[in-house]
This record gives sequence, C-alpha cells and structure tokens, in this order.
Amino acid sequence: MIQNKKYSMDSAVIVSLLVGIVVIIPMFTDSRSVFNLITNICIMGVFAMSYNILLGYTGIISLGHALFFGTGAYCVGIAMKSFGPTLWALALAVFMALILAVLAGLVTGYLSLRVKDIYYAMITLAFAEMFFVVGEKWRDATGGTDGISFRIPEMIQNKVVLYYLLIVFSFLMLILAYQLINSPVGRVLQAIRENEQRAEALGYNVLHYKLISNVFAGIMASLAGTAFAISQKFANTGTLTIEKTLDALLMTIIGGAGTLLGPFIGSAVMFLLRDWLATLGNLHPLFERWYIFFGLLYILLVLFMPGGVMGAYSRVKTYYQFRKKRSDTGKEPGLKL
Amino acid sequence: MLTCSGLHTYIEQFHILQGVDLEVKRGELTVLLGRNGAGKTTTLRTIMGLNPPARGKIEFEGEVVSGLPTHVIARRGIGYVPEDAGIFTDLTVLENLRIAVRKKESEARKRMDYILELFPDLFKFLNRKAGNLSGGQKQMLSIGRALVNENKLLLIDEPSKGLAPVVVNNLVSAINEIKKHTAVLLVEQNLGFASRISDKFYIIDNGKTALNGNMPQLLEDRGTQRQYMGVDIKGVPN
Amino acid sequence: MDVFITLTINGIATGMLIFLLAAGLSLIFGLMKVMNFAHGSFFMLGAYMGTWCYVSSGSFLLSIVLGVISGAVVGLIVERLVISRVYNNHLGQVLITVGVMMLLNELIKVVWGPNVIASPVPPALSGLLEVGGISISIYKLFIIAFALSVTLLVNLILNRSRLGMIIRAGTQNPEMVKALGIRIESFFSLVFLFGTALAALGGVLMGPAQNQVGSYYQQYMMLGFIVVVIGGMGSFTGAMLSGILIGLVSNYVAWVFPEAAMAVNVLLMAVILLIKPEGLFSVGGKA
Repeated sequence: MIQNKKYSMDSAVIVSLLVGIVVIIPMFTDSRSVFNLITNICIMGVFAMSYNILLGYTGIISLGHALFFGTGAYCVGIAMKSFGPTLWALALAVFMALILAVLAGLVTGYLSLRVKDIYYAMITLAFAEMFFVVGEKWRDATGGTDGISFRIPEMIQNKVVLYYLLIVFSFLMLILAYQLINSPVGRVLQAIRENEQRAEALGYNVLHYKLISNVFAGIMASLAGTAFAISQKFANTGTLTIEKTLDALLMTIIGGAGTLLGPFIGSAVMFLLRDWLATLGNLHPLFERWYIFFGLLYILLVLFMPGGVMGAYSRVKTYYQFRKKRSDTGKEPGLKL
Repeated sequence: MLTCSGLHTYIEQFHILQGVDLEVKRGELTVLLGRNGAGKTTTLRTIMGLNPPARGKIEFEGEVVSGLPTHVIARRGIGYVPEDAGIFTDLTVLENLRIAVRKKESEARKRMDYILELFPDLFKFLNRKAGNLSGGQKQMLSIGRALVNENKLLLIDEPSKGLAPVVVNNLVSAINEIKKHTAVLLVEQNLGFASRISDKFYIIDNGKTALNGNMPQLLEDRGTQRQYMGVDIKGVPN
Repeated sequence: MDVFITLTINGIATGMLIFLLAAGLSLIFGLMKVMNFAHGSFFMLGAYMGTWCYVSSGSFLLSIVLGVISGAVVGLIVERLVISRVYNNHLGQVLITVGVMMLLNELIKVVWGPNVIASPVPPALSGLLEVGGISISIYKLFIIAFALSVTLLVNLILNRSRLGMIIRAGTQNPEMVKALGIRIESFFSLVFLFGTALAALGGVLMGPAQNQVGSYYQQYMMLGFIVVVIGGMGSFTGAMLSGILIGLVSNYVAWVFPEAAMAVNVLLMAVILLIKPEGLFSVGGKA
C-alpha cells in the first residue's frame, strides 16, 4: 500500500520529538557510552534505511548490502591512514565513497537485477563474498581482518562536536530518503514492489528503476559506512560481512519494512535489547547468545507480524481512529488507511 | 451430476468468471463454447479447485465440492485433462498412467486394458519418455490417464487443438466411446469438432454463461454461432 | 603430474561433498520451489555433529548415522513449523530461510562454541594408497566411493519407486499431480528432510577431509548455490556433474591463485545466470 501524505503528519511529530530529545541529551550527560549508543543507533539506522529502500520500498532482497557499507568505511580508513587526519582527506574519502558506491551500484545492479528475486539474493550474496575476500586478502590496503585504526581530524575529535555531526548527518539522510520515497520515482518503486509485472505493463522500465533504487541505496549505505568509520576511528572486514547485511535486514523487519521510521526504530530496538540481554547474560549464560533471540524474534515477525513495530503502531492507530469516528458520528465511516 | 451456480473467480485482481451457471448430466457430453479469453478454461480450473471460486457453489453428485482442495475433488471422481495435455514429459508413458493409479495395481489391470484398447498407439510407446510423443499421442495419454480411475466426470480442455484431421478422427471415436460410461464436460473452440461429439452446449461470454441448450439447436443457428464465437461452423466470420 | 592427480582426486572428492549439499537444495527447490538459504547451516550441523560424535564415541559409522539423523530431524522441524507457512511466497521464503540460517548458525555456536574443532580421520580410512608411483589419499577415495553409492541409491529411489515417480512428476507439474488425487504437500516434508539430511551427510564427511570443522563451513552454502545454478534446478544428475566441475575448478584454481578460487566460481555462476538461467541440465517445466 502506498504511503499517503496524511500518515506522514504523525511521523513528522514523532521525528521532531525524537530529534528534540537527541539534541538536548548532551546538556544532561557527558557520558561517552551514551553518545556512542545514540550515534550507533543513528548510523546503523541510516544503513538500515538504505536497506529498506530496497526491501521495503522496491521489494527486493539483497544479501550483499554490506559491500557498500564496508566500501564507505574503508574509504575513510584508507584516506585517514594515507593522507593523515585532515579535513581535506576526509572530504576526499566521502567523495570517493560516493563515486565507488555509484559504480558498484551500477555494476552489481546491472548484473544482478535482471534475474528473479531468488537468484538476485544469491548473486548479491556472491558479490558481497567477493568484496569480503578482497578485503581480507589485500592486507596492504585494508589491513585484513585486523583492519585499520586511525585518527580523525582535530576539528571533530571533541566528542560533543562529533556527536552533533553524526546526528545531523543521520537527519540529513532521513530527509533524503523521505524525498526519494515521496517523489514520482519513489512511487514507481512502490508500484514495482506491489506488482512488478503490472508496472512493466504500464510502461515503466522496471530494470531502470530498480537500478536507481540500487544506486541510491548503495550511496546511502556507503555514507553510513563513512560515518561508522569516523565514529569508531576504525575499519575492518567486519563491515563487509553477511552478518552486517543481516543486521540491516533484522532492523528493517523489526522496525517495519516500507516505513520511513521503521529502520531507525528497529536499530534502536536492536541496540537497546542487545545491551539489556548482555547485562542479563551475567545472570544466566543463555543470554550471552542474545543473537538467538533476535533470530527467533525475526522469524516470528516475518511469519506473524510483517509490519514490525511501525506496522503494529499503525494498526493500533487505525483502530483508535475507527473507534473515535464511530463514537463521534454514530455511523460507520469508510476505513481510512 | 455436476451443478455450478453463480461462480465468480478472480485470478490475481482480474475478475475472470462473473457468474457461471451450468449443469452436466450423466451419460452426456456437454461442451463449453466461446471466444478466446471468455473464461472457459478458468471454469474447468475452478471446478477442479485449481482456482477456487470467490463466490458461488459447485455440487458434484449431491455434495458441495467448491472450496475443497484439488486432490480431494479429484478423488471424488473427477478427472482433468488440461489444455496442454499436462503429461509429465520426464516420465515414461507407463509411469504417466501408473502415477494415476490409486487402487491396488492388480485391480487397475482391467482399466489399463480398457485404456490401451481405446488408444492402441500408447501400447507401442509404453516405455518411452512421454516427452517424445506427438501432440495427438500426448492428448490420448492425458485422456487415458484420466480414465485410470473410474472417474464419473471428465473435464477436457481443447483436446483437438493443433491436431491433424486424421488424429482428430481417432479422438472423436475414442471420446464417443468414453462418453457411454463417463460424463464429460468439454471446452472447445472448434465448433466442427464439438458438433461430432456433444449433446449439450453452454456458451461462455465475458465470464458469464450466455446461452445453453441442445447441440442440434445451435448447429442450425449460424447467426448465434457467429455472434458468440466469431465464426460459424462453415467458417464464415461475424 | 602427481600434483595434478592429487588435485584431481581432491577436486572430485570435494565436488562430491558439495554435490551432496547441492543435491538436497536442488530437490527441495525442484519440488517445492523453495530456495533454502539455510541449507549451508545443515551442512555445518552435520560437520559439527559428526565430528563431535566421532571424537566422543570412536565410531565413525555412528557419527555418520547421527549426523544424518540430526540433519533430518532439524529439517523436519524447520519445515513443519516455518517453511510450510511460506509456500508460494517468494519474498517470505527468502526472509524466512535467511532467518533459519541465522538461528541455526547461532545454535551451533552455542552448543559447540565459536572455535574451530579438530576433525580426525578414522584410522581405518587414513593413509595413502600407492598406485603406479602416485600417492592417493584413502579417505578422499572413500568419500568418492561413498558419495557415489549414495547417489546410486537416491537415483534408484527417484527412478524406480512410486515415491520417486511422484517427486519427479511434482517437480515438473505440481498442479497436475494434485489433479490426479495426490496430496503433494505430504511429500514436501519428506523431500525437505531428505534434502537437509543429504547436506548433513556431506558435512559429516567434509570434517575429516579438512581435518577441522569451523564456522567458516557456512561458506559452502555459496558453492552449493553455484552448483545448483549451473547444474540446473531440480536436476539430480546436473547437480552431480556441476558439483564435480566446481570441485575441480576450485582445486585447480586454488593451486595456482588461491584468492581467485571463489571469484572464478562466482563468475561461472553469474555467466550461467545471464546466459542460460535454467542451468545446463534443468528439468522443471510443464509438458
């Protein structure tokens, strides 16, 4: 079902609230771990959102999305290592991340998007595998599994400054995604998700639009990767693993695929739950393997509640709207969706 | 024996059957006629449960079968011969027949003899892969396979399509023999072929049953033929 | 020359094991149209279970039996609880089987730990065979012989039994099978657990072949996909031939340029997908 503008009024309110909270946090605490938590949620939220563009809005499942993320991260890492921690080098890194993302998006997209979903999943998996192998073996550039540690430019070394930088970045990405989804291109993507053959029959070059989606998602993921590297001051092959892609998948499903805020909510849920389960791990060893819970939660969600958190929220909201309308007018309204 | 009332069937979002009513009686061969895309094949598929009806009822031998899964409907005694014969190309002719057997193989022997008498060609190719048969032979195999179980009703979809006249003749005699023991609901576009075997007819137009009656009536009314099927029996178009 | 022979034998042996993995995948996809992304996890499960059992009990036979059974049991549970709910839903299938993969991989880590475990070759099968001045690993020969026998057995079932007949027919035209009064869903569970059992068997045998078992076994799933794509969905013979092909290519390329082995296989898969997506030997499709 295609999102209509009425629904996004609510989203605007929620977003403003969350942004407000996030902005004033540094006034109440100085804790590095709180800053880290929030920036992690935001950055991974952006990554998940880029994944959501493919899964939730275009209806395709990539198992290789991490390749963009890792590319962005390594651009920063290699630039910082080779050219020193200057703002120029950082700008160069971001620029390279963009270029490479576009290239990778076009090439992988062109080769993989013409085949059916199942084969697409397999090919993207294969591509990610290749990137991972390159990352592991090309030690000179990437440092292999050990990765690259580096310093970031002085201007952003202050943790509060860095915090705000990353928050602003995430917010900008959110706006960008919003623009795409509500543009004519975005609507075509959703039409493709609903019924690809119909979109084709209506005259849209489906491959063309899927490519756009792929490149856009790739760019966003790559930028998320740069932000990640900056926040961690570290980049290794962990950014290229299938587990990273699965993280994005989990967050998207938990939060709600096909919604703007879903991925962020999913990211928040995952990080908070993970911390909580980890502390519980001190009580009982079973909780140390908290990933199992996520796997189970994921399966249950896919089977029984594919809308995720946002889906549940919108259902509850619709229910209350329905009830309110009914008591207001005494008549049954048409269901507003 | 078979009654369909008010059938509506959707395929994806397309409303294919928009109200189909028909009746098939024992000992008769009833043909469904109509243009391409009118909904004839969908009617058969709906009866068979492959595209369950959204609305309407199907009764077979006094029991409601609409909404039942396909394999249950088949077991009630309805055999299906789809438009492309639906034979398993990778299996041998014999395997295609054996797979249909639901009783003990020893009891099925008699049926096998009956089928091989009807279609002697099959006997020659028993151990060949069914994919190597000619179009006509595939149709014979498919019909034969539908006879393995003593089905009370056969649903046959355009068996004569693409077949040479000689083969069609064989088909006609085989079907005329079959209909002595089994009711048949046949879908056909070729009025000539249908005229040689049918007792009753229904015309499906735009997903609805438009007209029905005895076959001889229709054969005399060339205007109706042209109206609903585009051409009449002599090949004169509308 | 003897390097070539060793590489070839190793390649065929590895290929046969990947084939066992791929065969199950192919059968499952052929009949049920489900691409089981969790299949690699069953391979890994068999490897861990088999190795653990052999090390604990000393009986290789028992380890094979237990490995296969574990693959079958877990497969049955997965199919009944989860997979059966997403038939005919392609998106759901990918999502769900990926989820099962996540879950199984974690469970394996919970039970056996995240580290690599040593997987010894049973003494009866270890050592080298001297043939005309060339040394051939006995265990590798055993793998080839064993896998071939399993293949023969499965072929027999597929081609000589009613069950096999229904599976072959169902792979081609499931609607027609239903129209003949056969409840094809009943066979889904059977085929699924059989497929996962085959994968587990491959894993059990792979352990001693590499002398170790680790979470990296997950990567065999990728090779399994490549084999299935190249060999063709639903084709048992195709899976075997392309399994051997992939095994050989991996070994030869790895000898010359280790990093490229995976890349070459992936490229092969990409080429086939673009030129002849139904694979070299595919079987599916209607009459």
